[in-house]
Amino acid sequence: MRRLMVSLFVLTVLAGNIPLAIAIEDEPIVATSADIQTLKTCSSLDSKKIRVLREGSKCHLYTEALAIWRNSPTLEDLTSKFPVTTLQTCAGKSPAIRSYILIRDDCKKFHEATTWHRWLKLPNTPEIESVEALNESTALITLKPMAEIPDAPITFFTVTTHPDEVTTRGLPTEITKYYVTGLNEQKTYTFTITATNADGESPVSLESKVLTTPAIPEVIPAGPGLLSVITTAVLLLIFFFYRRFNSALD
Amino acid sequence: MLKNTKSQEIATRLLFVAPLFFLTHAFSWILARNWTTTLIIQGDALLGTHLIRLSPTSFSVGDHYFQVVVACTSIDALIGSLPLLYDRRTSLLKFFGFFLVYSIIVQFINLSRLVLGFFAFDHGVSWKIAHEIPSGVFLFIWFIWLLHHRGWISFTPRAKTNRKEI
Repeated sequence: MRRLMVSLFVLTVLAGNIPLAIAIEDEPIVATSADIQTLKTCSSLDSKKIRVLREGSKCHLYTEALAIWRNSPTLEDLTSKFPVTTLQTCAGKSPAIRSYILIRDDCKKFHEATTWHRWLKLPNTPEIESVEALNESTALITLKPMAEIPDAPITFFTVTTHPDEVTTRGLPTEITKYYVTGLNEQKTYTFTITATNADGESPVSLESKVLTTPAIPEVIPAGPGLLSVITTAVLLLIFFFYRRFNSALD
Repeated sequence: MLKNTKSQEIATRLLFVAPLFFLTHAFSWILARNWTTTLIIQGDALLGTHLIRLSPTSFSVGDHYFQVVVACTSIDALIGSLPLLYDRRTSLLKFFGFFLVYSIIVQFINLSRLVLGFFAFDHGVSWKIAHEIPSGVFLFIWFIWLLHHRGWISFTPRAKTNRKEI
């Protein structure tokens, strides 16, 4: 009778997929990156439409933003104060490498639905550490390192030049260095910067310190100048005069 | 009569030099200028002088900014020398082969001159002595070589004419 009871219990557990153990409160829910499948999407910055990013391809420059979705929650997700958004995809049931090409509310019979989620979070406000005039038209803005935002990485920075209010977009080189070009010589500028990701644009940074661009230096053409032409002419005159003189002596 | 024909030929050829020279300047030759800039910087780096590149065709030596213009590449003089160089007796293919080798040699000399000029300038020699006068000497030697190559001038001493003794 006891053996029968045990067998019935095991069968019930296996058939019903009832969890055998409940996580103890102090024990963290550990999920390594290998366990968690991720999905990369490109979100249109205007219409907010989402498309699945194919392997090896990129989001369209400045019009789309990358977002990384996970199909299994981690402890950070569960305890995060940021809102979480979800997305559902459909793919074939084959366990081979899947192609999540469809994003639908209801999957077809031969499809398997996967729910993905990620944090919704604007980038932190960028902080300008220093500004430096490299020449009459280029300034180097050094940013303080920004906190990592894994689910929606920064797509681009927008630098606004004051007082002209000219904006330029791009990603900083060497992570924290941003070059602003197209400045005018001997003019005073300040800069503000924002960061954009799939969830939107960060608040505007504080204005940078005042920067004055230097004057355009005199550029010397490195080709032969007037003196070169005169030198050639004088040497030719001497040469032919000498030859004529020599032939006259003959 | 023979001398007149030779002079006429040289004059006719010289007439074509200026239009070709100015035609060369009608184009920007960005790629050639870019290469020249790269080679000057690399050449001077080998000598231990570090020029700072500012753009594809400009660099700085200390506080001085230099722009590599068409004339620096010697392309204007190379193309301008075509009418003087062309030999009607050789085939066109053979002439182009010769012109290619000639261009490489001229470019090598020109680049060496520029590299040494900027090296000297960086070491305190005035721009006129480091660049302008050597440039004039280079053009003079080149022109004289052209005349000699075509047989229009000779460096061998003339055979003395037999004078009748009185």
